[in-house]
Amino acid sequence: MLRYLVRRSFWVVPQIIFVSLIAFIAMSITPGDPVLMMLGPEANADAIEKTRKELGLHLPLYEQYLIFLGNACRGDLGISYMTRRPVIKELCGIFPFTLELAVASFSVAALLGIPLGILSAIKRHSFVDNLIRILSVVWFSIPIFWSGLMLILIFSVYLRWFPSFGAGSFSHLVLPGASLALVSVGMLGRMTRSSVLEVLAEEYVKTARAKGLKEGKVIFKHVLKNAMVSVVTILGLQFSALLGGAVLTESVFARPGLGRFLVDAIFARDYPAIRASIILIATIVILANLLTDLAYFYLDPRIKYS
Amino acid sequence: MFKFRTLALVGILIGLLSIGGVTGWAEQEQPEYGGTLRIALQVEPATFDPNYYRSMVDLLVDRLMFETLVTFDSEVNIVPELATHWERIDDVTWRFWLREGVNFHDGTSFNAEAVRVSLERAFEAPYGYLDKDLFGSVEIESDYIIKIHTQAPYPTLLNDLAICIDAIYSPTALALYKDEVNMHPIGTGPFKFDHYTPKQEVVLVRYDEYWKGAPYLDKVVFLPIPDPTTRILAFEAGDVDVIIDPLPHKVADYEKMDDYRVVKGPNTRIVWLGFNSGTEPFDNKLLRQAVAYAINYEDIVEYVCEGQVRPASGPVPPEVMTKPIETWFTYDPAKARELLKEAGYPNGLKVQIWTGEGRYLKDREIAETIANQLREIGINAEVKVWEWGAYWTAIMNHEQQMYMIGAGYANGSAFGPLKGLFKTGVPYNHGNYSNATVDALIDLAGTILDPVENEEVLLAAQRVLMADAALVPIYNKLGIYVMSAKVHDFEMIPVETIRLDKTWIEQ
Repeated sequence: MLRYLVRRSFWVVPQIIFVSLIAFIAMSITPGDPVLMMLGPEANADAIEKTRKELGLHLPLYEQYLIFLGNACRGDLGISYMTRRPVIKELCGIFPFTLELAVASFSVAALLGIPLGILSAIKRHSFVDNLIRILSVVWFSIPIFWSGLMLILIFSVYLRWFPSFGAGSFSHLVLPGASLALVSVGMLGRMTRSSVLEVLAEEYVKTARAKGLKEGKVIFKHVLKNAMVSVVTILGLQFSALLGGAVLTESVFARPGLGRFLVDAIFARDYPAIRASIILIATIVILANLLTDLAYFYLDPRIKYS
Repeated sequence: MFKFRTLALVGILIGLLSIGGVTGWAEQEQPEYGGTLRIALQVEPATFDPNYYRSMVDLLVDRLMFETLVTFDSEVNIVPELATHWERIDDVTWRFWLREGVNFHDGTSFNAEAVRVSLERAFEAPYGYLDKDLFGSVEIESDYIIKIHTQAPYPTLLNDLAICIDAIYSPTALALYKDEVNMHPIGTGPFKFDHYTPKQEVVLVRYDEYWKGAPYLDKVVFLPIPDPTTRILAFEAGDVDVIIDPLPHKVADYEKMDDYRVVKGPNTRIVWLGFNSGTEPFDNKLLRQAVAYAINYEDIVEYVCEGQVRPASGPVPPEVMTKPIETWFTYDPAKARELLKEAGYPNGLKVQIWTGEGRYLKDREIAETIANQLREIGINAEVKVWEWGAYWTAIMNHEQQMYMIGAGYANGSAFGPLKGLFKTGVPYNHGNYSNATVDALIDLAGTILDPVENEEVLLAAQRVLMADAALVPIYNKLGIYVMSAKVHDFEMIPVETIRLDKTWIEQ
């Protein structure tokens, strides 16, 4: 397993560099001039030229990329065009908020979705199953900006239980966490259900029952571990998606976050901020995948990495 | 006996009631010290260094911390602020008397040296508002008297000194913080900078030694809330006290409710339909005029903008002139069709209207409405909606045919924007418009120091622009601030700033 880890880790850095290259190319072919965006509508031609040179935007693309790589290796990801502060500082300030929202909504979604999915599978075709299935689809389909605004309307404006926007305390986390969790619960529930159903149909489950094992033990000892393989894949994808892009939730609830930061940076053509955010998100996704693969190791001894 | 006692009792009762009534009434009108005013913004300020401002939001916030030599009142007249009075000695020399007894938030005295340092910095700033070809130098005559020397006659000097971009900074702060001064905004204004949490809040606190007297509010907090619906919900939940330019249909609702106060006033931003006059087909004046007469302006103001804007008044908002020009274009589809035929398009033509979305109130909706109205006279107009960054680059490259655009007259003068937008070949002439008469008139206005004469020349220039249909003005903005009824004496200035020196909140 250690050998596996080392081998996988070896590829992390090249993957990140590759992603940064694609981001670089994508931004350079996107129409829109960062200097015009930065200096505002009153700037004169001299200021524009001067700023362009200062930022190195007059250099050929490959040179700009090499300069960026060189600086990145030294830990310098550049100064944001929007805020004129080091991007790393910006990201460090923002990431905790994204992390807390991701952890909160992910936990709720997992703690609700997985048991509901299992229940649904065990009681297949019963009223409970049908109810859970319908609710899952409904929750999953509701656009998050609508559910977010509805939650604010009900719980902030009418009931005054929670603040209507912002971040910084637990009560600020409840509504955005709930609206994000709602989407994931539905998806997790459905995935868990179909995964469990698949496993329930396997031969060894029949054998376990034939052996005389109590149903509870059948489920928890034999079925779940195997069903979890597919579910863990989804969990990994969900969590990394939450970390990288809850932009709609962040906008509706006016929370600082990585998603909003990246979208604002794209609109402002803030190249350093865009590159740094994409690198951060890519790193998170790659690490999440790594953890997911390690989880397989634990869940399914048949997966041997030699 | 009985009658006398009753009368006496009634008399005392009436006396008590009226005293109670009088004091109750007085209590309501008496400003109270204390309280925090929470204002929701769409975007947070990008910087607290006015010389390097990025958008009007920066100036809105900075205006509470910084002051200028002169400023605008609510009618966009120039009035004293840090200068008490001034005179123009000759064509290129002005003298300003400065206010004594004023201190910056850090205790530094305000004096001539502070003015010199600040104005020189504003002049050096790449996009500061002091004209690079006209502003010269600041000469210190004494601690509280300065002379400003200009390189040539500078008719809009006072306007450029009034805009918050040319704020007066504490020279101590400039020397101490240098490039980091954007995080240490130290001015002479009624509020001091307390702290800034990125993407969350900007907090200002009362400056007790403000020269006009300490403001009533303890704190002013700016909260960036990007989604317009969330802003409204936060306001109704009581989490913010003031929202700016809310969705138009909500404004009408709030005006009817006693819990809320709507402060509405003219705003010097205007929105118009522009043409690319440099190439076909809109290099044809008759075609431009045809479009101008095909638009139902009243419908746009009443229905699309729900009455929350003012009808257009030409290329320049009325607050900025002493008298606006006459109304030029009206809705006249018959005339529009005539002009279209004269222009050489009896069978109409296919064109595109480009627009951003949400940059100006209802910009996309207006473009779609205009497209419909043009279809009625035979012009097949297609609307293309752009993301702002790409849009700006495209129109600066003159790739458009018709397009929605706006401008703010932030220094209260018609000269700068007219010159910047309509003079041949200037960078922000995105319509690629060229007219020698307009150029000559604008150049002439640049040399006339007498405000009355200057305005006549600019009016003449505006009339040429309208006769030429260089642009089709659509509406003049209203500044709309909705707040809790507990907020009193909130003042807005048409050049998109607010004044909170006398604002107070009922506790």
